[in-house]
Amino acid sequence: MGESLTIEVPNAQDAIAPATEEAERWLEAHEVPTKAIYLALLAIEELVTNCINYGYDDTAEHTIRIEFGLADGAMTMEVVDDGHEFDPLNAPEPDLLVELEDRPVGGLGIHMLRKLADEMAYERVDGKNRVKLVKRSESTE
Amino acid sequence: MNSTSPEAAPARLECVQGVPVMVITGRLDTHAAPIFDAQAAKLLGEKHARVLLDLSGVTFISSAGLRSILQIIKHTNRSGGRTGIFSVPEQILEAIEISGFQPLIDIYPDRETALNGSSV
Repeated sequence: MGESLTIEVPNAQDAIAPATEEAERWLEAHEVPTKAIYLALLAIEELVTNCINYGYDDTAEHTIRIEFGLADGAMTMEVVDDGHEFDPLNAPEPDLLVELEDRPVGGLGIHMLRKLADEMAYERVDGKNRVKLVKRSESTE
Repeated sequence: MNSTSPEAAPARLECVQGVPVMVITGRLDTHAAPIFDAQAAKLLGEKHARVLLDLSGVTFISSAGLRSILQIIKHTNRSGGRTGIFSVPEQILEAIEISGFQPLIDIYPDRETALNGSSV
């Protein structure tokens, strides 16, 4: 069995930085490759920010859970929230070739995650969004 | 434009051989992007066909940071020029490439090459 870490983030903008720092410290301590750490930090920023900004209608406090797992040379990460149903894999891909002036910026964060992750999956389970990302270590020559 | 404390400032504006150079440091994320935008506002209020961004000190960039850089790219385009970036760390370059910004900007290995490619 590998190592795991769960970080619980309240749905407040100023909770993102401490969560990011905790994740970075833990991943570095476990010698996770730089590219995987980058993906993890990007996922926290993009997914948690999205959820805090658009996931809730009420003013109640919610908790977004980030679960890391390290096993078999791969980092698995799940971001779990109880916000509105949102499947990032259904979000339209940004058209990167349109004219500069018309270039849309929405969806860029999700696009980056899809490109950087080896796997990205979404599930809606028990009223919660679960976004799973996997990054495998690259064989280095 | 010096209302933000130096600690909170992700960018410093220099003018080298008549070319504005923004030296960006640290994380260019949701938190830092509005600060960067405020610092870039003066530049965007003037006409510049060429702006260079020194990304050597950037440790992380998210979609929010890329949007900020896109504002600069659009600005130089409107003035009939292009934005150049130099000394880009590998991970940051990958983020820029997958975002499709690569054809829109000039990428240089270092400051000297960037300035040589920016004669005004």
